[in-house]
This record gives sequence, C-alpha cells and structure tokens, in this order.
Amino acid sequence: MPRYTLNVNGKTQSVEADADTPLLYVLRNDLQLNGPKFGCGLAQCGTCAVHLNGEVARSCSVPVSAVGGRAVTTLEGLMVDGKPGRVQQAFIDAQAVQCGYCTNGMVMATAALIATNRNPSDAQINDALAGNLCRCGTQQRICAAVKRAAQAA
Amino acid sequence: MTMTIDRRQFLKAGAAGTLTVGFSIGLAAGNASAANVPAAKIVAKDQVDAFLVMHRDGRVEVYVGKVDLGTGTRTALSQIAADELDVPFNRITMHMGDTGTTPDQWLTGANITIQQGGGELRRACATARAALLGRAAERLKVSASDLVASDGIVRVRNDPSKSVAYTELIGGGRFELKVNDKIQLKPVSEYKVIGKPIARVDIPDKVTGRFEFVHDVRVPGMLHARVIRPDDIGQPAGFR
Repeated sequence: MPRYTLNVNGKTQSVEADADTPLLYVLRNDLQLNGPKFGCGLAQCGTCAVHLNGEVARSCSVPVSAVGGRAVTTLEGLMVDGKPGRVQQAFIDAQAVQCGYCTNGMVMATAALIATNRNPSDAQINDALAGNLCRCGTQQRICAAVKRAAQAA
Repeated sequence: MTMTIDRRQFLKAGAAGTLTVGFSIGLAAGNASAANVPAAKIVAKDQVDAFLVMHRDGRVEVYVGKVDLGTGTRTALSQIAADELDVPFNRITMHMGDTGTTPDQWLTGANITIQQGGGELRRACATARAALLGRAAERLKVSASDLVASDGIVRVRNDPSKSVAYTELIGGGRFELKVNDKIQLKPVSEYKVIGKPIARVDIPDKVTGRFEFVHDVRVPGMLHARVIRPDDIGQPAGFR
C-alpha cells in the first residue's frame, strides 16, 4: 500500500492506505480522531466535515490520495490549549446540541463561515449550514450559537 | 477473552451463537468506569444500593439501567437524583446501562427513561434520603419531621445551628434497604434542580470530539466486519 504524508491539526502524520481510502477513514481509524463522523458516506449529511486549507470538505468523499499538502483541520484541531475553541464554546453556551452526531459538521461549517464573515445574516448562516443535516431539531439553537461565535470573534 | 482470534474465527463463533457474548465482553473491557467499581456492587432493582453509592467525601455515584441515546437523560436523571436526595447536582456521577453494575431497568426507548426509569430512581433516592434523615434525627435527638435537608446537610428546622452532613451519616457505606415504593416523594413545589435550566453535562465532550459514541469505541484487538448483500437472488450472502 502507498504511504501518504498528511498535515493534520498542525502535525505531520504518515499513513499507509489504499489511494481511494476516504480521508475520513484515515482520520478515524488510523489517526484515532473521533471528531469527524461517518454519516451517509455520500457527502450529503455533513457530519464528516473537516477543513482543507480552511475550507469545508466532506472527508467521507475525499480520497486520501487527493489531500496532498493541504492542511487538514478536524474538530479536535479547533481546541485551544486543550479547551474548547471559540466556536465550540459558543455551541456549549447556546446548548446547541441534542444527540451530538451532526455537531462536528455544524461546528466546522460555522468556523469556516465566521473566518470570513464576522457578522453573518440569518440567510448567510442558513446558506453556510444548509448542507449539514440535524434530525434532532436543534437548528434554532445552532443559529444562535453561530451568532454567538461570530460576536466573540 | 483472548485477543488473538482472527476475524474469520470470530465470525464462525458468532454463527454458532456466541457473537453477542464476545461483543459484550469487548465493550466491558473498554468501559474504564467499570474497573473502579467494587466486585460486589449490588444490582437488584429493589435495593437502594443498586442505584446509589454515597461516598464520605460527598461524591454521589448514581447507577441507572438506562442509556442516554442523545436526548439528555444523563443530565435529567442526575437532576432527579440531586433533587430527591437533596445533594448538589455537581457532586453526582452518573453510571448508565452497564448491566454488570447498574440495576436492570428494562429497555431504553419509547419515551420511558424519565417516566419509568426516573420514577424508580426517584423512589430509591427518596428511600435513601428518608434513611439519612432518620439517622440524623437520632444523632441530633429530634424528630425526623423537624429536619430539613439541603445540599447534603441536614438541619433542625427551628434551630439551623444544629446540623449534620450526609457524609457523617453514611457509616459503612451501604444502605442495605429495600426501595420503598410507597415512599413520600418531594413535592413539586420544593424542586430546586428539576425544571430549572441546567447545562447538559455531555455537550462539552460532544463539541470537542471526546464523547464516545458506539462507533468510536475501540478495544484492544478489535475486529471489524460488514454485511455483504448479494447482488441477485440466489447468490450467497454473509460476512466478510
């Protein structure tokens, strides 16, 4: 099997994997990062989201061979000194979680949004998070959390 | 359980009917909290000690035979225990759904965790609280009906300077009491924790990737399998 060198959460990692192995499997199974979740496996639900060079990507549908030198950031990589980062703290403060399975994608999409937009409108928030599905029904609280995170930025 | 069996042997054993046994052993090995529990933890559902272990340093371990499937019942059941015992919410550690250490409270689902499971927990806690008040009455030489409890401290209603902490009343640790199904429960008007906004205890771990969903469980030597479905009728199906 080929070997790939990845930059994950600021660390250089070397993994052996088939070229078409989804990045998600490498993150979860090889690097033991549980933040990104397997949901649909078809890039439709958003819970596998990571950042590649700061942009949201669906790690279930990105082959490890396509990552290259791009910086991979996972939910774990948003923490600061072992504590919840700004977006994560906003989700805690807004109690914007029920079962928590979609939370990874919601937080990653929010972090990418507020990195470029410090004052997102409701429509912009809806647009940025539209590809992230929550079946518990926490959307209202998540929108509140996004605004909190943006204000804290 | 030896961890040297390969996937094929494991699946053959599963076909012979032992798959669930192997699975439960694997999960128990991954449950760090189980290792700290005394071997003789009582689990009989009619016993207060099945639900509660109160420590002399004020920690309260609560055991329930339900699991939190994501609706927040870990927090809600902790609220119930805190209120019915009159102990601070943040002193409670909740153990859920580990059949080796928790009472068997039947299945989790169908919206019964709070109404059935919570009711059973409430009666166990109320039985424990009544026992503690009884011990306090002896210690303070007053009638139990003259006592009030709050935050783990029992005080004489008309003379709050007279008090004794639960931690001084625990004695040998176990209650050795049957749950009294007719026990007087705390009236709703006296709730201090239930019905109040309280932060969910599981959210910090869920926003940081530390929370362990079933899919995240790893045990030494863990094996993976997937069901292969045949493309057409008549083709062989099975595990791979």
